[in-house]
Amino acid sequence: MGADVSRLARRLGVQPRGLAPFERYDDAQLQQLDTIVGRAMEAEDKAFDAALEEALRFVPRLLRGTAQKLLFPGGRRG
Amino acid sequence: MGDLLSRLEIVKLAREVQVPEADLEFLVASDPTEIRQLRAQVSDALFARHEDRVTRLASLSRLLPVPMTAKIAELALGPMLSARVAAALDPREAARLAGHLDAGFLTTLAVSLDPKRVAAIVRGIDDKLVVDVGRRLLAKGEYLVLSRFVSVVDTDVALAVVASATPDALLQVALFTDEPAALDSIVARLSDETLADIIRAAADADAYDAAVTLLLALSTESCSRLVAQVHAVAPQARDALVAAVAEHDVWPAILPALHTVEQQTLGGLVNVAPTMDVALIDRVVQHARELDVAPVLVQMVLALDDEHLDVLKGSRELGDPAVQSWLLRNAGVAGRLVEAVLDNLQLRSA
Repeated sequence: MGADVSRLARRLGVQPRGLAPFERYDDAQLQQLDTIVGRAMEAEDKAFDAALEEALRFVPRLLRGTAQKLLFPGGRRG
Repeated sequence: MGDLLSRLEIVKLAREVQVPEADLEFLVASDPTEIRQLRAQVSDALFARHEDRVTRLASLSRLLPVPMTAKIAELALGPMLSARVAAALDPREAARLAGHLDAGFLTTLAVSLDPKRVAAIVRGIDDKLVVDVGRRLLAKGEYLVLSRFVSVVDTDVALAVVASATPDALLQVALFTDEPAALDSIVARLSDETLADIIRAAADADAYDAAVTLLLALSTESCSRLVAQVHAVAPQARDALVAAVAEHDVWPAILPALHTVEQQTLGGLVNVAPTMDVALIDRVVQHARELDVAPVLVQMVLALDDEHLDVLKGSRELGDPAVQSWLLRNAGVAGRLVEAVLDNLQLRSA
């Protein structure tokens, strides 16, 4: 199994054999596919982080402590 | 056919990872089912990656009054993340929340929804709201999104959404639909006039591969109804349609559907330029024999005009004694008729 297919498989959390049909592509194409998927994941990471912060702003003051514990169980960053 | 189907799957994958389709163009070399599987893997990976955050946001919604949750969805989360969170909500809770969201916001949210994760929610939402959102998606040209909901919504709701759709929009929605059975139940309720409009739209757009793809996705009965509308298009368009069927060699899907097509309509289909090629005729005969649809083959032969019958005289397949014997046994008409036809074509073997 090629290194690029294995990298994409790791990113997707699947067995490399699940991506075996994509072995037909060259390294540059697999790299491109991996980058695209990686960027989609990162974009959603950032959007979720921002949304969790933003959501808290709309919670009434009385409930904000409870909401904060719910949204940031490990404590808020920054 | 693979190319077109692969391209359709690329459009869906590009939407999932939010890149222009051109960035994934190289995947056209893949089988459509491989691209579909990759899309499912990407979707699952994105869902799993954010499951914890989604769960936390879903928990927050349980803490707050519904109108406040709706406000957070619209102003803090936005449509894409709200779509993700919706999948983690209790269906009844989510359906209630949907009633508090602006229809315009729901329309944008629907673009990011994964129908298979939210089927129960969609079924719990008031039909009027679903139709309203569906029509808004239609107006925005979101055919891919609509196609994904075909299998989730009730057929009546789907028909109410597409009631005002242009034939081209209907063709696009049909092409993107993953669930042939759901598509078929909708096509079954469309009028012959609408089906004729769809064929005409495909011809106007020179989208014969698309028309063939649609024929392949339908049941024999629906395929037959659609084929029966070919009279709606000009002879050149019929030439192109048959050429597309021949190019992709999809006769096995088309031949059984011809059984119930009226002889006059069948004549319009078989007396076209591509069938002046004896190699194409032989291919059709081979398929007919493999499928054991001798009556269809006889119907087609009887619908041919003199010019095409002359071509038939050169058919190696029809001259084959084994094929003739099969025809005589299975044509569903008197053997004398088959023998007379073969005699006329000077093909009868001793």
